[in-house]
Amino acid sequence: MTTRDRIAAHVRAEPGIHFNELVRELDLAPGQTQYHLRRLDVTADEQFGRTHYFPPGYDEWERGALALLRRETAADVVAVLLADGPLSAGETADRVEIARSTLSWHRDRLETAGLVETWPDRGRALLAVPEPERTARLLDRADPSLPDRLVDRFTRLVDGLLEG
Amino acid sequence: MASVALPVVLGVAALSAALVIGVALAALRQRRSVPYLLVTLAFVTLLARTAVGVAVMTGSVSGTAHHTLEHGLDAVMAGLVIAAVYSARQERRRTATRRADGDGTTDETRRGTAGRTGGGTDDDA
Repeated sequence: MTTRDRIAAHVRAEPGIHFNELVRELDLAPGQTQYHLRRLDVTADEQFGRTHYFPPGYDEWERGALALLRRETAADVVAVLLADGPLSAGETADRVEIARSTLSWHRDRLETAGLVETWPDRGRALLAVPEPERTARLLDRADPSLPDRLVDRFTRLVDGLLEG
Repeated sequence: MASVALPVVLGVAALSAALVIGVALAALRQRRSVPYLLVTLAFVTLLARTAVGVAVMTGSVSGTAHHTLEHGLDAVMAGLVIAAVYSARQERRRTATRRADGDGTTDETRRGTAGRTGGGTDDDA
């Protein structure tokens, strides 16, 4: 298998993978990876300061959603809302076992990407997933990398400690 | 034995501190908030302690100065953590005010944001 085929296969297996992960997981030089990516039929999407790569067939909404669902905590929030939503912000944070500030940070991004919506309900604001089937499918495909998991768990810990 | 153990301990300490600082920097890049900056700086003092250890080993810092420096770094670390906790509360108030003025017209939203700490939502939203 050529290097270009390996990169294409990896992007297909890990839709939404970001550049550094690709370089690290395939043990390639950044310049070499960049060179092949430019010549492959993949979509490069800038999301929250990082370039994510997608195989053909993902529309703009799905690309934004996958980039976010590759974060462990965001995926946990969406999973809880899919299973038990609509829930208030407080109930969501309690069920995911994260601090309010952690939820607040992820909620802003999830709402921007259209993965989560806020509905007013008898004087309360409820969070829910507006497109459950599509979201559940994408959630299955998203798999966070070890460094991303570490950073996510670090922010959960720090937010929890500072909130105490 | 001690002559071998110290460089090994310092090496492990430096690597571990660098890893923790790397994670803290990545978190700071996401949040861009004062509490996260202070927490990251607190971890930098860990690496500074190792640097002092190396300086003692190579003879560029005396034993007496070493104690002063190491305990001074302890004080700096404690100060940074206290400042992080304090600034988290300030940021929580700012975020709560912003939500209440903006989209937060409901009781639940106000209650939901009242418990928030310095997650840096202002800077990163």
